[in-house]
Formats: sequence, structure tokens, C-alpha cells
Amino acid sequence: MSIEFTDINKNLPNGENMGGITQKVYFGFHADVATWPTKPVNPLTLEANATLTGDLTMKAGKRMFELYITDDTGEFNIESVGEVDGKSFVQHLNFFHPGLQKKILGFMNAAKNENLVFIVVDAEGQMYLMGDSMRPATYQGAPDGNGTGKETAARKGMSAEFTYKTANNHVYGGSIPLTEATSA
Amino acid sequence: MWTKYFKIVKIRRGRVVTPSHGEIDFSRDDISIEICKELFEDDFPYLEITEEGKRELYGIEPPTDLVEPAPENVHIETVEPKDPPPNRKKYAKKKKP
Repeated sequence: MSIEFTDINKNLPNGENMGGITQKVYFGFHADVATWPTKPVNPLTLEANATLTGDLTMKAGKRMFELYITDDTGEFNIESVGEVDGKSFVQHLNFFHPGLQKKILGFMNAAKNENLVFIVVDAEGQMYLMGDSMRPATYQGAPDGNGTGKETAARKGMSAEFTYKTANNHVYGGSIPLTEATSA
Repeated sequence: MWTKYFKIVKIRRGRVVTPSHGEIDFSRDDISIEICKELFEDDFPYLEITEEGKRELYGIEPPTDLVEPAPENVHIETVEPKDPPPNRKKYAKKKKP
């Protein structure tokens, strides 16, 4: 392995280290992605070992979409899994979307058995791409339930959890196209 | 206006979330040229520089045709320009460590 270890100091630019994710997550169909950013190959530094290079681009006529989530309900979580010598990660995205409008119901209907891709932005603006050319993000369930709630003071809406299995964790530094790709 | 110096390619003019400047709506005409230039130099995939942009922002004049006009009925082979098109990294500002 050619990577070189370095000291890892407390590194909080401007003292910032706020938790949570932003109030939007970005999603699309895995099959609609034209090109994926590349994972590090023989990286020399620790930072390079966690950095994706390039942009996610979509096929002609396709785009990424945004989904509003209630503040402080979104979470991006990295779970370590596997046996000794077979360790890897499962990335989890949890969120709550308010209301039971047809759009969110239709999204869950369409998404529950589909291969998807998500881009999650944390409170510092760092982005995580859930999906690669080999593996999609998939729906796992509703950790905080779906429905009207019992009391009038309850919060009506849809919660959801999506996961993505990956050998390594990376930061995405590319763009997110919210406009249709063209053929040219 | 930024569209004199850059044009959108590979997508329709519209919204893109950029890593350095958040969401930008490229259907608007009032985007800062400096932002476009910065994105272009950071290899943003959806901006292409125009000839006017090369000239105004980087001082690159378009290649002039040095071949004298050929007499009529004489075939002459096309001459490729010696200099390749501008490389983004070549003109990029050095980033602070």
C-alpha cells in the first residue's frame, strides 16, 4: 500500500462542527446516471483516500431532484459491518418529510423497490454520494413511521431510510444537476 | 453578462448545485462573471468558454489563418492550428493551501 500516514489533529475550520444535514437531499434513479465520479486509485494521502474525483452526470433528458426534509430529522450515518478481514460500511440516510401529499406518497411508491442514488449535504456543506456504478441506494423502511399520528398535535408525514453498501467512505466534491441533461 | 464569456453545455440552462457556491440558476442573466470563471477553472462540467471569454478573461486571441488564399481550382490541405485549445488547469489560479 503506497498511502502514507500523517498526524491527524483537531481540524475544525473556523471552529465549526455542527451536526445534522441540510433540509434538502438530492435523489435520482441509479439507471439515469451517465457518469460517476471516480474512487481513489493508489492514493498517496489520507485525504485523497477519501475523495471522489469528478462529477455525477445524468443521461440525456434526465436530472437529479431535491426532496425537502423537516429540520433536525435528517441524518447521515455510517455503519461498520463485516467479519474480520471482510470489513466494509453501510451508509444510512434517514429523514422525515411532512404531510401525506400525493407527491411524497407517489415517491415512496416508486422508490420502495427501485435502485436510486442520493447526495446528502451535511451542516458544513460536505457532500456524500450514496451510490456508485456498481451499487445503488435502496429503501429500507420507515424508522419513524408513516401516517397521520394519533393526536391532533402529532406530526403527519413520511419517514424513510435508505442505505448504500460501500467498501470505503468518500466525500463528493462535484456538482448536482437539477436541470435535464442534453444529448450534446 | 456572463453569457458573453461562457455558455452552458451538456444540460439545459437551469439550476445546478455547485460545490463552491451552492445552488446557481443558470437561466438567470445576472450571475457574476467571477463565479463563472471560478467554476470553469475548477473543471465545472457544464460551462464552456466562448472566444470572447478567452480573449477578455485570459487574453487569448483566436488563432489567425496564416495560409494565403489559394488560387482558384487548386486543392490545399487543411492546416491544423499549432496551439491546442486553452487548458483550464493551465489558466487556473493557484489555490491557497
